[in-house]
Amino acid sequence: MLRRLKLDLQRNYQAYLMAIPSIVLIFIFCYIPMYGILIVFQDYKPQAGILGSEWVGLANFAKFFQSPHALKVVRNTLFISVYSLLVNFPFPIILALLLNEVRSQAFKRTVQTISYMPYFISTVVICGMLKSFMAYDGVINEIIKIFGGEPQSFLSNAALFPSVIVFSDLWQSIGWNSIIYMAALTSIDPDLYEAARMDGCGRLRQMWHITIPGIVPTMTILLILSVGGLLAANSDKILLLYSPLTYETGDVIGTFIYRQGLQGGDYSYSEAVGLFQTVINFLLLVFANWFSNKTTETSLW
Amino acid sequence: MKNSSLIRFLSIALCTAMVTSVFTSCGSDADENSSEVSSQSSTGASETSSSNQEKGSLYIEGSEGVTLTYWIPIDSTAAQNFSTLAEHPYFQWLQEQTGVTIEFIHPSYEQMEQQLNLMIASKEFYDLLYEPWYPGGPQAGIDEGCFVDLNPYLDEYMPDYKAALNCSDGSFGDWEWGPEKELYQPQPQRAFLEGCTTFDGSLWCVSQIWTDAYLPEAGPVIRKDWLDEAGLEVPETLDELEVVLEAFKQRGEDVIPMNLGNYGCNGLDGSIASAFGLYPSYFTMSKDRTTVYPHAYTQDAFKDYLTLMNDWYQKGYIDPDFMNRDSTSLDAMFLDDRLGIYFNQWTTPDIWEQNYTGEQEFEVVAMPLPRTDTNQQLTWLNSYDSQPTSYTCITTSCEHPEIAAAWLNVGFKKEAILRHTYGIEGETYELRDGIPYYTDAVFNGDQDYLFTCELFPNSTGYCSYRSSLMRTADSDTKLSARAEACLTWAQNASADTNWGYTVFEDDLWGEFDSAYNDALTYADPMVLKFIIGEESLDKFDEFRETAKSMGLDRAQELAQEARDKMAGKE
Repeated sequence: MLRRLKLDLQRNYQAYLMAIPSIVLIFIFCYIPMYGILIVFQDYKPQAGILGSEWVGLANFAKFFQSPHALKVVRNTLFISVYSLLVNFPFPIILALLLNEVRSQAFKRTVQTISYMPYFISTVVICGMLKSFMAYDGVINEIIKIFGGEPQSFLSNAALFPSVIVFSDLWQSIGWNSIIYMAALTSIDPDLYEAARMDGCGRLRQMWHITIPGIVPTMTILLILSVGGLLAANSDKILLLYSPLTYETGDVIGTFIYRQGLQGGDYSYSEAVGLFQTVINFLLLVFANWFSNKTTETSLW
Repeated sequence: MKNSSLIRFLSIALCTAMVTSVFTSCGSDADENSSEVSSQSSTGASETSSSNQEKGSLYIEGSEGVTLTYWIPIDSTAAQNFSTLAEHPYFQWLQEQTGVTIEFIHPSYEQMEQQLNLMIASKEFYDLLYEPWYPGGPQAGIDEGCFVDLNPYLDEYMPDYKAALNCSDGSFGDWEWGPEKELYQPQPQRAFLEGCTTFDGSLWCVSQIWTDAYLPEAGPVIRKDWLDEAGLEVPETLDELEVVLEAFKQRGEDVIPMNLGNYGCNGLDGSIASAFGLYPSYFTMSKDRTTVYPHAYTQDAFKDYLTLMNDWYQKGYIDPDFMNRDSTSLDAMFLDDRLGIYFNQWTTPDIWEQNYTGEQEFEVVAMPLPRTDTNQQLTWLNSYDSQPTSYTCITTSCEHPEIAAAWLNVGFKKEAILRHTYGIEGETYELRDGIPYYTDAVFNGDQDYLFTCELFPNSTGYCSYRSSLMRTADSDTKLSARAEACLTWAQNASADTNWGYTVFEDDLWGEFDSAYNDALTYADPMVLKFIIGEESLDKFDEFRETAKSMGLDRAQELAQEARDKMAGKE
């Protein structure tokens, strides 16, 4: 083992040399600050510092799980995350597949540009737009009224709130997320398509037997990564859009901590819940990776 | 906000926030003054003056060659005119007069907490810190050797500040304010001393002191031209208001008669709930500050309030989207003839007149807080209380704390007050029989001189709310619409109910905070559901019991406990 490493080092020393700066960088900025996680077990006070603050063990975690709302916010976080995954994962792939079949370059480029434009608008602005679109007297209700429907206040309807978050995310990111699939699609060997045509495959057949298998590795990797982010619902967006009326379905871990910690500036508490989120996400990531390795033989490591 | 951390201060973060944001007008555009602007001592005239001129009454003995560093964010209005406060005419004047050179360090508002924590961690401070919200509270700041207890300097170096702190009958100082003192008679307020003293009796800050508080800065505003068209007067009671709402509703489908605040009961200040004797946004306490009242959500009158709001909501008087609107969209609706009544700050009426986009005539007036009948005396007023605001602490790094103390004290002397409130004699004000009158230069707005109070409201010293109202006026006798608005909102209301401003011991604060927030996470949605009719008001008792058991009872208990301790310290 050691000998093999030595051999490898000798042979590929240039590559290792090039990797050194990034390793050092990651070590300094990601690993060294990690000792700060200690504060989740403390009643952290800046003046006492990380080493001097009082040790409280698991009290911060206990505080979160004893809160009458903990169950609800965890449930909401999971629901919105899973929902978001189910919607936001397949649609960019479908968009990429469809665009791939488009012959007219001009049309294709136009669609691409328009679809990824919202990605570059800041969340605050997006939320401002959403609020005015979905207001009682907003555009969407005007359209509903034209077709004879009853206007309703979308943002105060708890049942609709997760959909508002998820589908506005989709609108915002579908174009951007499809780029990576478009890139994967270009790497598929055109000869394969030709051969398939010779064998009498129509367009759908080609898509099913060539295009999709061609991008499965990319899909798998991205899916694993998004599973890793499952518990990190998009809380800044929710924070900008929710109201007490939508707490029932919209209050996620991030927003709950924001409200709880805002006045108190309770660093340890927020960090503890953050750590809880991260650990769960990490386990999910490991599991997804293992599962994917077993079933598709594609994995991150 | 500035209040970081595990603080003993239940600052009513809200209250401080309100006061600072309204009076400094800075919070919102803070990012304009982004990074740190370090400044040099002021230039030019002052260099020659300090040595040659004879020393005036404000001169501080021993100030020769002393430079103090002052860590203070620069207000966005000031930042448009000066890169550092050292260039500001008031501070240049102050340097000439006192002989003390101030080196300003301007953090941006967002960086303040972080920079303060860095200073605490390294124990290296600037000499003077502006609003340093010490994690753990001011007493911790003193105990842990970061801030200086000002008591030892109070008698010798800060006699004027001492007098200001102890004054509770409104007779601040020994000068006469200008004709604006006729605007209204402020109620006597509690002395500032309590708020500026810690549990252990340390004096922890030099606060800005408002001589004439108790005037609201926010309240309901109404479309006067719509009233005129309907032949109605500005409503004063709930019944009259209902008539007006009905009339507004008749104007068309697009018109929303009234918007409530996001939480359905506070507007900006509980403007309708106050008719029910409620202030729903926080705990309140009795006038003598001994008893913390139960939270408004748990009082019987709150059910009556909800019943009325629900009724109005069903009748279409209230914006169906009130919980989702932000102030920008409300302003837009108001200016676009789509909204009749809503709640806003005092600065707005004048500004709206200019920005009006709709089609008809546009006239807006402030509406007095509605009452149940004309005999009712309201007990809640959205005004601020005698707590430290825009305060400055002296740190242990300061080598000349006595000079720093004397310098901070200057703001409470007559000459300095005249200079920063009224400006330059002969240019912006004139003295008649010793009483300062603003000149037409101020009223016409063609004077280049910018007042410290408006430009830089954070200065330590006396400030006069009436004077700042007066400066917006057209003349000595005609006030601006926004100044009138403040007076209107104060009608028939007294500040008999106080904010529950309470200092907590360290751990209790955290406990209070979680209990209170847990309760609100349950209660706020319920309140909205009651108003829009998603929950029947028959469930009010159940709601009340749940809210109490979820934390409102515990929070009240803790607030009372802390309050008792606070009272015990005096």
